[in-house]
Amino acid sequence: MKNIIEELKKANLVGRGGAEYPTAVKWESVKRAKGKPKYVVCNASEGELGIFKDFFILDQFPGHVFEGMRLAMDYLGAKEAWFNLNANYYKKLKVKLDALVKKYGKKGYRFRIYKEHPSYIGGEETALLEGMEGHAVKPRLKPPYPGEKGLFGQPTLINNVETFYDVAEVMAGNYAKKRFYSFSGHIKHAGVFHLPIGISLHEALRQTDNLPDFDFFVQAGGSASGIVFRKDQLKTNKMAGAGSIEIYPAALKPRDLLLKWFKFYANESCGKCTPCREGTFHLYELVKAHDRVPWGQILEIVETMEKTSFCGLGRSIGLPVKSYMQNILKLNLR
Amino acid sequence: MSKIVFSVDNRKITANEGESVLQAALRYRIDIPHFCTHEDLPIDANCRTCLVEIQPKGRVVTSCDLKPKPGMMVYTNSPAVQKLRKENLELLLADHKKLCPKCRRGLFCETADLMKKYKVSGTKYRRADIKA
Repeated sequence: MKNIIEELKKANLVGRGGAEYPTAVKWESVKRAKGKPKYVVCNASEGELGIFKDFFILDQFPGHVFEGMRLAMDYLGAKEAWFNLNANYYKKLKVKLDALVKKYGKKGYRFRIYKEHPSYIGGEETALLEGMEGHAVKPRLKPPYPGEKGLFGQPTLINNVETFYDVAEVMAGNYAKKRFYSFSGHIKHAGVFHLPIGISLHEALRQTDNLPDFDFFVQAGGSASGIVFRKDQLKTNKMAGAGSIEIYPAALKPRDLLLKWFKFYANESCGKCTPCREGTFHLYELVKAHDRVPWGQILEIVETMEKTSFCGLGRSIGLPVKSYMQNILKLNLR
Repeated sequence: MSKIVFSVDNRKITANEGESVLQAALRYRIDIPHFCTHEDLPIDANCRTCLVEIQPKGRVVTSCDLKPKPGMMVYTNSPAVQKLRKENLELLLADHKKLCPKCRRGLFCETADLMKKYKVSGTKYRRADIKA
């Protein structure tokens, strides 16, 4: 039998949820952690706008994901694995997933599916643990990290759907250093494409025949928290993070785009910490109340959220807003 | 029991084992505004007003969940802290002046003192209208 950690290291596998943490390091740290039982959790929350690769993978290759999770369970000596599954996805994937749960159950691997109310915060690794334990879905204070004290206070390995898919591919010897990217927006061929890792944005659009013939700009790495790039920046920037690209026409009004982002953030903020709970609400109200976008006031709140929010979701709001101001509108950030 | 010596605003203070920076600083009567921290409650770190800056990195973090390290230099009133803290206080205490007369304690409370001290207007933002 192959040494799974060596194989994962050789393949340079990193987490595919967006943070790109080395998978082998994460697995080893959970293995080292004291405490039994250990749990394996597959994060299939996918609450971000413009990302739908996890659904695609669970729909097309559910066997791979289960196999990746089984390998993790064997490695850690875990008896139980959980899915944190977007409830909308479960409605569509019920037949396939339930059959696999039964199949693995007969072999002694216990799989459980937690149907998560679709939300952005539900993808945050400690918030999803809270949800599965039956508490309000809000992030936990770190440390301790889930690797030491996760689900029900036990060491827990949390990986994205695509990471488990990749693990199965690596162990089967089929790993081709590719990953899944979601394409959306004003685009000819929207959908999920399997392309090499580290491909430039331009190349990704060209290979999928998606380069628009009109003036446009793009948002990469999630359509709420991703970075905004100009047309001439596409060649120098890579597909990274959560792996998505959305195309906007250049004629899109700043106010409309901000309304879309801020409405999403205001609805999805979990309400735990002040800057995110109050900030997102006031951002949306500010833009709604003004015909001309009040950039100064917006920046004040955005910077506060970016620097003082509790979890990564509130902190992520600086990326889209600031990159949009710099790259597209060419406004000075003071 | 191991004690940790670190500095807050260039003043040497000693933290007991398990204490956070906020708890140690409060013991020395160094004022750091805080709302969600209470001695009877677990640390939740949700109000985000007990901000301090760690030098030399210049990172602004909440002091309630910050564990002191030997020789750590913490500043409670740097320009970055002042700006971020004020914004969070304004967000948290939106419309507080207007609602003050409705409260049994009127203007005579810690919150009113704090608003005076940190020059929080309470009028920068409006509270959300909650429909019953």
